[in-house]
Amino acid sequence: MLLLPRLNDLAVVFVSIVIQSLPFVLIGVFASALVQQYLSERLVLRWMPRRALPAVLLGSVFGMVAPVCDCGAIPLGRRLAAKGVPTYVALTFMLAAPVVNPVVALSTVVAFQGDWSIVALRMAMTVSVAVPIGLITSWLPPTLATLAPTPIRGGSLDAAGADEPARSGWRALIRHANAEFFDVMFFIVLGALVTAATQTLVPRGDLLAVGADPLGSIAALMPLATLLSICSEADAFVARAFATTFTLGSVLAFMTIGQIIDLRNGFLLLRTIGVRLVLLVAAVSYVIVFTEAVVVNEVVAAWGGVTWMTGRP
Amino acid sequence: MLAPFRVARAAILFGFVAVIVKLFLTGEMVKYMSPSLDPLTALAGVVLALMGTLELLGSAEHHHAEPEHGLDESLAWLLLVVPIALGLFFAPRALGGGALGGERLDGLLLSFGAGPAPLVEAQPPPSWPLGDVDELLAYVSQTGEAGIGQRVRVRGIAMRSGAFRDDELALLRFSIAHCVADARPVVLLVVMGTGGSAPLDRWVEIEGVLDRRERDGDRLISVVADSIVPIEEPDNPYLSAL
Repeated sequence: MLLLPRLNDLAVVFVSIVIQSLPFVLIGVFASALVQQYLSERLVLRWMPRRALPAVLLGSVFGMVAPVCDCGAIPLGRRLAAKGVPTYVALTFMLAAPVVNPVVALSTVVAFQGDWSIVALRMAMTVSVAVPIGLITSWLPPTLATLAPTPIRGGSLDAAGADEPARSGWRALIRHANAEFFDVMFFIVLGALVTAATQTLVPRGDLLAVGADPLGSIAALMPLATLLSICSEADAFVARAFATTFTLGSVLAFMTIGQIIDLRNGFLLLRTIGVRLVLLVAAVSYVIVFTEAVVVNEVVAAWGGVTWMTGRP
Repeated sequence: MLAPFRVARAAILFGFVAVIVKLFLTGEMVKYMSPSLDPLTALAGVVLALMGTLELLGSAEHHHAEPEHGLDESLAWLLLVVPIALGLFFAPRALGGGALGGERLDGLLLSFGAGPAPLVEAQPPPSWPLGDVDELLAYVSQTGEAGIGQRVRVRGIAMRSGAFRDDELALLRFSIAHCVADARPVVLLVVMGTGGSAPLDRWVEIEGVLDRRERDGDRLISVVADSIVPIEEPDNPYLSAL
């Protein structure tokens, strides 16, 4: 079956996002299943700091020991919440983990030719968004700050588990993962479809024409990151391509905001934390990332640029 | 008697497995994904097969207690069938000029870096033509403008822009890190010989010599073409961004 060029591009991008997501979704749903099966609420209560700030800080760096990308962070965060981790800590984890993890640090440093300062700036910007959002959420009434507890009907662990005796071991683990997978994949596929349509049908040439402008470049790359919805382990390579024409602040903003608010996971995030929290996350993260990117551009301008932005292939 | 709900879930899981197997067997996986992810994708296929098998076994064991499932859930599962059907029955072609999304070709042309060219040891350049765009870029990143004069053979999609001179065209490739969704254009300037021409929006193979062309202060990497030959789309049309 051959398609017209534009439809071909849409189909290729759509299928590629779905296939690429599969391993990372599986990592997320199996991590979630492991938490479901082996992490007790008593253990969570023992290790979780009582005060909000230390708990949020812990949530923001938990990705370093539970390395899941953006496709896996939401299922795992939701499962942690179901096990007694406070909602605001689970949300902090979901926002920070796609960037604050060793795999993404490695891919970023490879993309930027061994420049660890880019990795540090990227992680710092991500944490600086996740922590305030976590703290704000901790002050919200429980009716606002809630996570969808279990997968949708039919994919539900509760519904699926009700029809057979409780089990442990690897079969139960796979059953939990199965239920989580069907809940997550619907939203991943929906997000992939919207992302592919956006990438293929929305012209981005005009948006990218403002590359050298300190403010315009940030204003262009942030929504582009949200629209493109590139995996956190691959976006540094795209950002590196932009780095020859765009400001450093805008490139960092691209790598930060794209993992917090993106189309691909937007539907799943919406389903998990609800419209009001999504709007809060979007507003706070866009303001903070934009401000930080402006500051980075000012500092870079004062220092006279950075070495890897030379345009050399 | 089997539980239809769990059989349907098993079928979807096996559907994803079938897509992965088909794409590997036909060699079409490179039209979607970077080969660097092949081991991870293959492992995902094995895990999905295991999940599907368990779901199928469970459908025989617990059909009597299967919960009710609504129309909305069936519609949700229909969406999962779309990428499976496309993966199985759609013949993918590589991204073309339309995937530029309105980005200007002349703004994407590769150039030699600013500042002094890297120092290279005095060693003779390879006598053979450099194999393709990725080899050319690796060579230029080592030699800078000292590599001018090297023979090259590059493949890509021939494109034109209104900003180009009459004897110029662009050779377009896309590089990917993980999958086609993160593709970025790589555009090389080609200078055709007198009276030279190329079929536009088609894959071509160009043999020529590495050169430099200055424009608006940029020192553009260019290939002065000796020959331009139309070719079929290569098996792996993408460059690796890694």
